[in-house]
Amino acid sequence: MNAASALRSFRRLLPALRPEWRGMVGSYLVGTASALGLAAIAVLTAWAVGHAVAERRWPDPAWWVLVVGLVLLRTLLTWREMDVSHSLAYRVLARLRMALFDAYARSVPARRHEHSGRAAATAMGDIEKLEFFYAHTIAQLGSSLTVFAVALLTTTMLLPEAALVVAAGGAIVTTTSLYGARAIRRAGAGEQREREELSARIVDAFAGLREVLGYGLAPRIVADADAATRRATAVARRRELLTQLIAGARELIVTAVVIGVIAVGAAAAGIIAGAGGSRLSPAVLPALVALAVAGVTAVADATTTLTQIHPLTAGAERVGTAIARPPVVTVPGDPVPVPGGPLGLRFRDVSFSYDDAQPTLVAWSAELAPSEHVGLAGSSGAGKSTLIALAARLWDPSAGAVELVGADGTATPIAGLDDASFRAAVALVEQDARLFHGTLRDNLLRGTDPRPDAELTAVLDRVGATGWIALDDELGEGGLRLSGGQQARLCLARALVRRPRILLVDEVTASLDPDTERAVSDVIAAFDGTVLMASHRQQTLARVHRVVRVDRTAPGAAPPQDVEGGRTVVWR
Amino acid sequence: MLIVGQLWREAARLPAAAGLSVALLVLVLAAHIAQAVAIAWSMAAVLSGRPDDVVAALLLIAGIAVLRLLLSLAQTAAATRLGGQVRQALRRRALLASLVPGRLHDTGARDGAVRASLGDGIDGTDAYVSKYLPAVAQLVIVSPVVVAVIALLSPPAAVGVAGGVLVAVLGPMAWKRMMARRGLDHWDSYEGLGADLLESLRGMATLRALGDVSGTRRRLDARSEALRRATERVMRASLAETAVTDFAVQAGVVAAVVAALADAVSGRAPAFEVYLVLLLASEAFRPIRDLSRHWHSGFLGLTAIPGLTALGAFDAERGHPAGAPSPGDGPAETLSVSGLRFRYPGGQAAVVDGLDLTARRGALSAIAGPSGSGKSTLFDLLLGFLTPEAGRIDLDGRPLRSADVAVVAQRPVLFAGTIRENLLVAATEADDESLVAACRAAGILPEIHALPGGFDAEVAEAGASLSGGQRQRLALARALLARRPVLLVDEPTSALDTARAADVIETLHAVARERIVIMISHRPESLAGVPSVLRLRDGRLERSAP
Repeated sequence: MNAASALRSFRRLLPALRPEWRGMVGSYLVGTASALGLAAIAVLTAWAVGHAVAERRWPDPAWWVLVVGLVLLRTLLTWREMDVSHSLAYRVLARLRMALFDAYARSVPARRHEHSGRAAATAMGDIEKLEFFYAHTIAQLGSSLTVFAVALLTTTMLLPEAALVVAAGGAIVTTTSLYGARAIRRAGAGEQREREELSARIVDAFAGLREVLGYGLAPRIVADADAATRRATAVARRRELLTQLIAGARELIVTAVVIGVIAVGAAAAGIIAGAGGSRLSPAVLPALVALAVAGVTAVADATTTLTQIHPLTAGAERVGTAIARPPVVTVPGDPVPVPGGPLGLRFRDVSFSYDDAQPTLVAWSAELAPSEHVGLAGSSGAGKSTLIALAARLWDPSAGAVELVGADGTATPIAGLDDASFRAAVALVEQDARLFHGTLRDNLLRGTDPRPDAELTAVLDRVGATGWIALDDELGEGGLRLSGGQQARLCLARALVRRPRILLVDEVTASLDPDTERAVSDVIAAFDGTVLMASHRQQTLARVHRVVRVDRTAPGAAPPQDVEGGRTVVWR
Repeated sequence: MLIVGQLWREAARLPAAAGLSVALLVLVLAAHIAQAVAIAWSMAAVLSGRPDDVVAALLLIAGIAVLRLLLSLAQTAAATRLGGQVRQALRRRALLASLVPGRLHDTGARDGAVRASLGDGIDGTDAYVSKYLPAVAQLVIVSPVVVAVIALLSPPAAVGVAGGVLVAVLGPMAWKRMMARRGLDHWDSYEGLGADLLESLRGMATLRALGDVSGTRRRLDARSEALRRATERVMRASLAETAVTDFAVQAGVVAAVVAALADAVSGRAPAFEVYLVLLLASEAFRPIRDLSRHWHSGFLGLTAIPGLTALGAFDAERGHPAGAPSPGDGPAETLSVSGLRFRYPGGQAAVVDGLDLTARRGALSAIAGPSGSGKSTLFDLLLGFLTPEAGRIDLDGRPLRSADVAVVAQRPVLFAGTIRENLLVAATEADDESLVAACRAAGILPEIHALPGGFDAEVAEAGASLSGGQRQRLALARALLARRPVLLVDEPTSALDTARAADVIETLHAVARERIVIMISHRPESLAGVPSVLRLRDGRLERSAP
């Protein structure tokens, strides 16, 4: 990753700061005042000491007032600056988190499988690490430069050659912001990768806990995590050493400036042989040194900030890229509502391909009349699930269209429909449908208006889910206490609660015992609306009005007839 | 100064790494002090007009600066090692303590929360262990010495410095309790957000299909705002610490300056001593400034400590849970279950009650029963994931261990990785030949060959890139490879078409000649030819006609 792309990564994150410009300005002003106050305390005390030592004189009363006032003021300003800049940063992080959620919401499931553990690492850890960037960078760089300018100006007034030393020191210190930048960015990327990888492994281990325990894999997972932590530590050590080396170089430069200022000061005071007489009182020398240190330290602080930004580049890049993820379905510019009445479903020359593979569907067409129940048959991988996903608008087809057909025959492409009204009309029960953490009632009502308990209970009754579960029961993530059959019944109930007009069902009977399969099939058969159901089971397909075969090798082609599940299947 | 007992104990378990880190940090500070002395000397030399001394002092300053750089590099390496080792130990213990069967039935368990704790939470301890902790040691060791030296030069200055140090060290302890309370809120919010976020990422397809994206967004936004508010509250409490420290440092230095001024004006002390007092006063506060800086970078990480404690990260290390079976175990003859009873905590009726079962090697045993009748519970009892209230489970007269059992679940989970890695999880030693044989027996071999990359094809998270049937057969191949004396299979043919289902059943019959195989199934076609079919009803098994 080079400097230009690193810069791009951060620039992409700047717009999140836009609503905070007032806070940024405030942070800059308070921060600058605080830093100037600190420099003033150092210079004033040094000045007093210089005079006391050289001239045996107490400072004026005004000095006392000023110093005590500055100490108090500085405490207040420091606190205030940190408060403003951090609150601002946390607001920005909260905004980024939601922007990231929006990005995932419009782009997941991606056509390419991604690991949720990695995405979670970006959304939580990487964003959290950007706190430093938002809280400590822009306003603080401004403050540092202001302090440097003031110190340089004051030094010039006291002793121009000392100002030259300070200016040269400042310029050299500035270059340290670039030292090791590439290596530190690389190390940061390495750490970020390890964090992400670890996150994915932990998520895997807990998602497959039954397998992990059954096969005694815990020691191996622990060993993996151990190795990952060790690797991350090794990379972190490299980064810390580099950072420390650069910090050391910076300190050396500051030290050199101190030496230089003492030297030119000594020369100006006429102490070192032959030089310019006594243009500087030795009493001022401590103040001059303090001033030089304040000026150069300000620049050093600014470059330290920049060095600390380098390792964040990889995380910034991840967050920026994730926020800019392309949507998997286009958002209609002028969405129309779903037409009323019974709905049919039409696939018109639909093509689709996953990222790399050859097309899954090519110009595939089919039509379901309103209230017709149609089964999708075909071998594994033929595209049954893809068709269901396209009908549910999880993805857009790469060519062709999926349309809802009203009773009067007017067709509306689903790509142009208002999402909320589409979701209310079309319900999906996927093969891996998930139940969520929370009560059964919460799960049934997800994405729909509140319904009276009696109505929910009636639906549970329809799917045969009474007796073993109540509305207030906690399901746990993924419905962990429930068997596959129980989960399938509840997912079907969740779809029915919405009173959809089209029901899309993908292999819901795949892992069910025959009793449950029969019960579920009965419920679907009794469903008063359009049904599109993918299944490989003949018993399941036997209950629909018509079966359509999906075949990868013969897209859209229509062999005349076939026998499925003992029934004659008519092809269109 | 805030002491987190758990992390100090962790560091104490690594005395060499911790000692080295502290010792080097003390040397770094010593170098700073030496430099302060050299600077005071140089300025005094300027004042009294001794050019040779000025040059010598400046050279000394430069030399010390280089030495300090080397020392601080060594210190950094030591500190990072210490932090890494502590993180390793915490992660190991927390993982072992959380990868336990109890989680399988805990409806309150959130994967995203445990992910946050094991990842970000443990990483968050690093700043405290590697930076703050050595800085505390440095403060305790060096600051009294510096104050003592200042006291020799100027007792009033020493009083001022000591006062400042004490305020900076003790002040923040006043609101330690408040910090801890707010920290708890912060970590709860972080975990809660992490849990909801991971769950919605994994279920995003479902959420989109349900039209619940905006509802989920509202919930997450509330969580995220709660986290922001909690973070701000912890931050404010922590900033008060920063402000008090900053005040103490400035006030202490100014007090020392005033004392030095008095010495200088009265002429009691030579210029060198006056400068030295000033510079030493500044150095006396260096550990405090370090402490404050490191506190700022580490305080948020510390909010995870109570959560990590609850997770078991600080408990004594457990022995590894039942590992892989010893390969020397030969086939077993009989699995016998007698009088087994189990009830879920809080459940009214026993799910399994007085259950007896004898399964022998040589022929397939099958169990049938309606959905929710307790078949999965029975398997979990056999696997040792649940502890029965009463009854025995024996294998050839000794208690059954979970390492004796291989299982094919109804919805098996595969891991992100290659097909090969997934198959070899429980048989790391297996060669390609047995790999191929197992896949052929499970009826998945042609499909593996058809995948780009074959056995090295990548499987997506949770096996999502494969169909349910493929996952089932891969899980069967995995179980066959594990070569354990007992094989449990749950509806192995549910996602298969008729021809494939027949193949799998034939394989199970063949396997049953070598191992004890118990299958849950209802499909008449699967049960054909099974000599003993038992039906689970009211928590007991009854013999039923196949």
